[in-house]
Amino acid sequence: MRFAPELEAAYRVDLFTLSLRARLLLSSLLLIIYLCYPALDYLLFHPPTEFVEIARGIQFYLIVPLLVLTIAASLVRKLSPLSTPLTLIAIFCVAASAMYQRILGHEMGYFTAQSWADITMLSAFFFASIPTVRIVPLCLAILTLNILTEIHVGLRIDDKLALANTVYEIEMSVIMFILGAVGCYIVEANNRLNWLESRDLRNKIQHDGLTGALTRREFRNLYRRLFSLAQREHRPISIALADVDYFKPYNDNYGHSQGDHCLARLGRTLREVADHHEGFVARIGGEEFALLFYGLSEEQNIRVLQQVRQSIENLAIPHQARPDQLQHVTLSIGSIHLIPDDNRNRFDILKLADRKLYEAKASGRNHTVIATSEQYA
Amino acid sequence: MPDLRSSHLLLALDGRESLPVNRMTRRRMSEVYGMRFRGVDETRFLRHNDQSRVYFRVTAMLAGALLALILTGIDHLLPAIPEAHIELRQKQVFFGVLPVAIIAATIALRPSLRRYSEFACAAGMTLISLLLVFQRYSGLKVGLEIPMALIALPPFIGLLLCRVRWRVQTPQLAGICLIAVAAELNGFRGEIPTLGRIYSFTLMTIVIAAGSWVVEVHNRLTWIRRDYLHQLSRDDSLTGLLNKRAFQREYRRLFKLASREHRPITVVMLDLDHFKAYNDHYGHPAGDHCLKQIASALRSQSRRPSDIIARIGGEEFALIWYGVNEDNSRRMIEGLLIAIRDLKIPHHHTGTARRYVSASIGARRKVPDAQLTAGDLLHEADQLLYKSKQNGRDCYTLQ
Repeated sequence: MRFAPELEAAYRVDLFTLSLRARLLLSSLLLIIYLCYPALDYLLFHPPTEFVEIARGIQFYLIVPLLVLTIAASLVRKLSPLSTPLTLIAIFCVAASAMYQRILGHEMGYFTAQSWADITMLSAFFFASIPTVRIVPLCLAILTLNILTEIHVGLRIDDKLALANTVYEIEMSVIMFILGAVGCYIVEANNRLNWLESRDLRNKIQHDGLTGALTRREFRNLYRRLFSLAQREHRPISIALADVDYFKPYNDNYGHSQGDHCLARLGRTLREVADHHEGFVARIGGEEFALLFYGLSEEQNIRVLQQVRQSIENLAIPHQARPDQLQHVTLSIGSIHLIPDDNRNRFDILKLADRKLYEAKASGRNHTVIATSEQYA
Repeated sequence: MPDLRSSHLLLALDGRESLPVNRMTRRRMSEVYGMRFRGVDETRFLRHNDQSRVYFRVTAMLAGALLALILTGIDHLLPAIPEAHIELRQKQVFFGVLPVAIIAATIALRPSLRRYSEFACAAGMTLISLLLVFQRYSGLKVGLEIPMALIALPPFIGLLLCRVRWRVQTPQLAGICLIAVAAELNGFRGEIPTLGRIYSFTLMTIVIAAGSWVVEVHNRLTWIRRDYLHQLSRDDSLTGLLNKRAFQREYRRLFKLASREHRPITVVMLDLDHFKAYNDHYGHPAGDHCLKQIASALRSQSRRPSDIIARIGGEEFALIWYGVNEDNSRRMIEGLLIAIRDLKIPHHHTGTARRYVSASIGARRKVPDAQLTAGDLLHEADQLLYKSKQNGRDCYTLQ
């Protein structure tokens, strides 16, 4: 019931919003129930005055404020870290007050229904969206207290029917607890499975299946977002377009499956280098990749791109069909490094990078050409 | 592959994610809150529940039956319970609860009966609840109190663990609540405890209904999200046909079926003629529009649910037909070519006398045998396509 730490954190973040909504509903429901009590007392139940003073005192000065806090925690973003502990405390107080009322009522010769603690337990299990490991101990405590209460209230040596009824009540509580614990576990396991599956699907859609680089669509989106971030923060951004040299002859000579294999190896290497510098790699065409870096200085950018080109050369994938002297698969890279200001169009930047790539191709391939600042000023 | 959303940099970014999952769910929220999807999705959701909940339903039913047995066992140990009451409980357990549970479990387990599974679960749970109402009613006469909460429990299990849909189970829950309250009010003379019990029981029913609504909203949300992601990973984003990955999977599945059943399978490879020239002259947006039109033409010609239509390359499409004889294959292929010609998409740069977009087709129809692999058949169709291209395009070769 626990993922690796990073995954676990992401899972919690994703599910938290939904839990908050469920808690909002639960605590509002409870709040309405509690606010209705005076009217019900007056119309239906007519409890003794001392009972009203003590029981409703607890309800209005302890539980109602707690519920209001819980509602606030699920509505106000700043308070949301408090939501889980507040919900746990509120649940315990609601159950405890129900049991206390039962004992109190018993001593004053007044009756309150048995099932309140059970109902609280059940709703805590399912509708508060609290992780199983936290809710089970709490409900175990409520169950124990409830059994003790029932024994205290119901059990008399002389009355055998009362014994039977008490046993029925205890049976009921235990069933509720087991059902709750099992159900809660199943619901959570299910949530986790679904979440993992959706995450995998999402990754599958966002990444190119062959090379593991981002897809073209994802690149467009990412580039837009990073560009506007860089504009706002006045931080440098660097875009590099990389194209595999003489890839068509490679495909024709070695066959398509070998070509795919080569692209996959290139993709993996590019990703390794980019990940190391917190950058992104996308496959934007058949044999064309784009690299995006945020916050690298100009010298760092040059170094990183040299490293990219060098690491592809170091793969030493044989390529006999090239018209030039080299015998290995190589990359040509055209890049641009800039701090974008507001009147800069990101498509023009991309076009400039493309031109640099063309220059790199023209100057004999296996080269890196980086636009100088005059060229885009 | 790194998860894009967990990148530290991207967490600082605003703006829309490129996958419109959240936008899509927001559009369909009314369906989610209304507990009913539009169109076939509701049936698909029901099937999904029936499939994924088989073992839960069986376990819940058997555990429920076991619980009933244990509770009657405990009755025997308790003093002061009238013989008649124990007998009634036993009779109900052996002739009511056990058969109902076993029947419902069987229906969930048998694939041929599975579509009745939801109904069986809901009805079984309601029946058990009614038995409990009766038990409580007759128990009260001799001073025994079966807890009222027990009555609401079976529908709750149905909603939560067996995933009976909310719209199916809640009306029954409400009915049971009414019957139980009516039984309770029988001979009522204003006793406070009875009122208290009825109040807590009604509230419990409401809590159960509201809570299972929350749980089902969550389930439905997860379902449409995942369904949408599935669709995105399966479809080609431009034309809405299957993409290459999904095509490979579906094709292999159909191929295996054909070789097991000794039925013919027709592989049709279709390639648009001079499409690079089209893109170069009319621009990529026009090219994309053209591809979309071609895709819908293909869809209109090959409409059986078992047909596979996919876009497997830039301007390359593949269709797979299962169990179609030679004449019909020929007719359908001609239909494809005619449909594309009838679109009359102008294309003045073919380098030939043709003025409209056309396609070439290579098709291979064969009953798979042990020597033939799925890849081979695809390759043969590809060779035939090449032959059609050499024969002057806008034609087909079928073998």
